[in-house]
Amino acid sequence: MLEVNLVKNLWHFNLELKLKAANEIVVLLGPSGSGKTTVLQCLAGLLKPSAGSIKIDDKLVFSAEQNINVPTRHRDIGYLFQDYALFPHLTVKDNVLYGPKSRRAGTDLELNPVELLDSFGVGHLLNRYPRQLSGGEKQRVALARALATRPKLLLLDEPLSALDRNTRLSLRQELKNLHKSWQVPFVLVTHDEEEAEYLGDQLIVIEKGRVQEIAVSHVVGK
Amino acid sequence: MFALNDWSPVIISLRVAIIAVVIVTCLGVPLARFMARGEFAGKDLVESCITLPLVLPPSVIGYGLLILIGKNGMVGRALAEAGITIIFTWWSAVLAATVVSLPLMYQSAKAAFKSVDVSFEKAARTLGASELRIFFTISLPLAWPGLLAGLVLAFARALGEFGATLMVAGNIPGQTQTIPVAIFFAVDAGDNTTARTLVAIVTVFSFLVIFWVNRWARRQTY
Repeated sequence: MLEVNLVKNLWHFNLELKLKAANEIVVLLGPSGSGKTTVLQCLAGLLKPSAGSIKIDDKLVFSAEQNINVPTRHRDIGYLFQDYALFPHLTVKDNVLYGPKSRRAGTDLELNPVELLDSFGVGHLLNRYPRQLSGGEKQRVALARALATRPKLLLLDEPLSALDRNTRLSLRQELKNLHKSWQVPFVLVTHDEEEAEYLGDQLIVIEKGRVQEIAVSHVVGK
Repeated sequence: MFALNDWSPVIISLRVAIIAVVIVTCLGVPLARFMARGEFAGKDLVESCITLPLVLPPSVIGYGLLILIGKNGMVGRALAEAGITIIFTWWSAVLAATVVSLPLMYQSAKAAFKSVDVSFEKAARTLGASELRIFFTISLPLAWPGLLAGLVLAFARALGEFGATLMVAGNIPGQTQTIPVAIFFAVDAGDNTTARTLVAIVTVFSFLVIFWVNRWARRQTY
């Protein structure tokens, strides 16, 4: 369960967002500069909201009133960056192992990184470096890396925008399947309306920091 | 043509430069990382103070150090009470070399850290890594070519330090006489063979170090 009620003062407008999500895909749709990525960064703890509160998996990670601001590394989130941000000096395997090694919690290691990569169809790339991967491969590796720590919330920043049309179509289906098998809330940011409607169980349209429209749909396989 | 009766200037110079570079690295690298990412009031002021020795005449630095660690200097007197004398020992040559080479290490390291894409550090944070782990596993390896360039520049500068060294360490053969000081006094005394030999040693050695580093750094780009 994800509960967000946040205000972030930016220099040209104020961003305000309220959302509640169970294990579903929430899509934030809006043009560039509308504050979508800022929302993700606030959820991740990379930016501090000006006011409000954030609850991830029923744990309060931010509250302006109670002066709570849990640092990013303790928020149990996975974050897929727009340009994937795979560590260029580490192999695919070490990229995926980076999270579990950072947390060092025994339970996290139940998840075998090799199996995880295999499930994304990139198990054969273990010893490659990011510069040796195609766009689609990078995206799958980045997803595996984000999920290797068993996050309670997955944040995806324009996950498909850097890919060609065919890869994009097959990957968005994979994203839907992935969501079904992981059963955690996904918050996905996009500027592509068609993609938003295809993926979102809950669709939030933001423009200049204001929520313009909220649409909820539970039609599976739309 | 080339002959050297006394190798002590070479040994003293190497010892002084190596210790100075170790100190400069331990101080300059964390400082550079902090300044590359942090924002605080008075940052420009601190920055200017660190860089100042780069543009000041060596005699000014020498005079400043004399005031500081001389027999009647602020630090010098306190040290004298503890039974320690730095002035006119090879340690003061280390101090002079450290002060003049720190800005070079600092500037290169800061540029190197700034060139590391912040999204790698953010990604590491979302994967649960502590700031210390991020520094050693992400920032440091990715900034490494630039850091090495700074290391070499600092080493070359430390090895070549003359003015400030002469003022605080003097010219005591076998104790504080470094290569640049030895060359100056050899020429002054008309001993061209010694001067020529020391010049050749410094030139060849410096050339080899820079040549090797350039070649190495060219292969380290991701």
